[in-house]
Amino acid sequence: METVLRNTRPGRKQMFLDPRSKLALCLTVFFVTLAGDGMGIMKYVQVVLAVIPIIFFLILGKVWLSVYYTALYAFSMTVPYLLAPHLPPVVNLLFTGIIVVSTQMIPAMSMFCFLVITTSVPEFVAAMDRMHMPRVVTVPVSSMFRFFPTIAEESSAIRDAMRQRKTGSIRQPMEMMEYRFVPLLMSLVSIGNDLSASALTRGLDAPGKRTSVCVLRFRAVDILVLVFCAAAVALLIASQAFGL
Amino acid sequence: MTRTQSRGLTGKDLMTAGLFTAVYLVGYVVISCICGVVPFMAMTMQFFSSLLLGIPMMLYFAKIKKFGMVLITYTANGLLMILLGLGAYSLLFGVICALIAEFILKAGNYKNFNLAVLAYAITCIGANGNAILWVSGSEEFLAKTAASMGQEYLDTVVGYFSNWWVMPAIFLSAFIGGLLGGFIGKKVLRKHFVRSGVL
Repeated sequence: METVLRNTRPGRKQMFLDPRSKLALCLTVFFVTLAGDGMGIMKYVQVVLAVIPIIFFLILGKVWLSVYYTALYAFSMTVPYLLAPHLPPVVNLLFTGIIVVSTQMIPAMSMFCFLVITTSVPEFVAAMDRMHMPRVVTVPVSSMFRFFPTIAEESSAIRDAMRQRKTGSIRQPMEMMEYRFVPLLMSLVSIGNDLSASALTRGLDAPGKRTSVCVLRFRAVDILVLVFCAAAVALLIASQAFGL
Repeated sequence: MTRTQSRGLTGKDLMTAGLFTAVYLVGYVVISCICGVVPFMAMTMQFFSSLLLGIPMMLYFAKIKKFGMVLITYTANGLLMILLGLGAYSLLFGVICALIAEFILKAGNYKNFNLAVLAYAITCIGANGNAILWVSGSEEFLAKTAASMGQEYLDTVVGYFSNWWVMPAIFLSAFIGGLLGGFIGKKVLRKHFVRSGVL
């Protein structure tokens, strides 16, 4: 049956992708950049995976971010390797090495940011339901995503209020904990109570399968992405097993 | 009312777990960003994050009355760490330590506050399992560069690797930070939350 909802395609805001294929991409980038040792064929695969976030930045129209990302990645891939021989081992182990490890995580981190930015909570829940995730996982995770913006909002409001009272600045750490953390926690707990009451009213606790207005369908782009993920993982396994 | 009084986790419990996991994650990321900027501070990150997150987590642990919520929090935390590209260790250790913490809380019948502090300190170890990734990744990088640097350099590096105490020290610092943070959290809880009736 052809309806309006059925024909709704994931648009630019969703990066034209299904949440599930975004999740698959995210996990692939993570595992391959981490597990691959950067030898042989994996050298090229890792670079290809690092290019994906650039494409997504461009789709979302954030040109400067993509330039920044490219510069950071290029920097992390070359400079520490040139510097390391000239520094003492202690500095290398505690500092240079850690910088290298953390910059290697940049592709995976930006993939996760894309997943969060381009997926709404209902879409995410619908995708999780499709993957037969139990409620014990979906409810906390979705309420967690719901809370991230709330925490930022409340925190900045409390900061403003405390600035007016000229207290709770970073200069007095103990006071800051008491005047910033405690009110934040208080308001978050009460917001949490309100939210769970509202969610229960809308049948969060109800047994049975939930329906969703979000359309989830694998399209040609998604299949392409999944094939790409499978290829990357296969290359990783091949390089580990046969030392390609 | 029979549903809400059931033994299993209700939707409200799950929402609470989500709320505190969000607070925990945001706090963790903010603290590690602050500590990560300064070189050599990176290794003290575990201590400070456990110390400062004591307040929200003690509030959470005081609210817990059922089996499974700590486990959910640290599973979600570990899964998000994987998605953030920070390694699978904090999922593995987080789940193990959260299970131990669950049994400790259960032993105190979810009322004993000192046991809750102990449980929190144990989960701190698990949540900081990622440190393995940093240290081993750092060593791997060094080994790679050392290979092209000649024998003498390699010897110095290998000598440094033999510092086997680095990992236990990190976990111990997380544990001590968790204990201290737990006691601070207990004090703050007494002073603010119990009095105002939030708890």
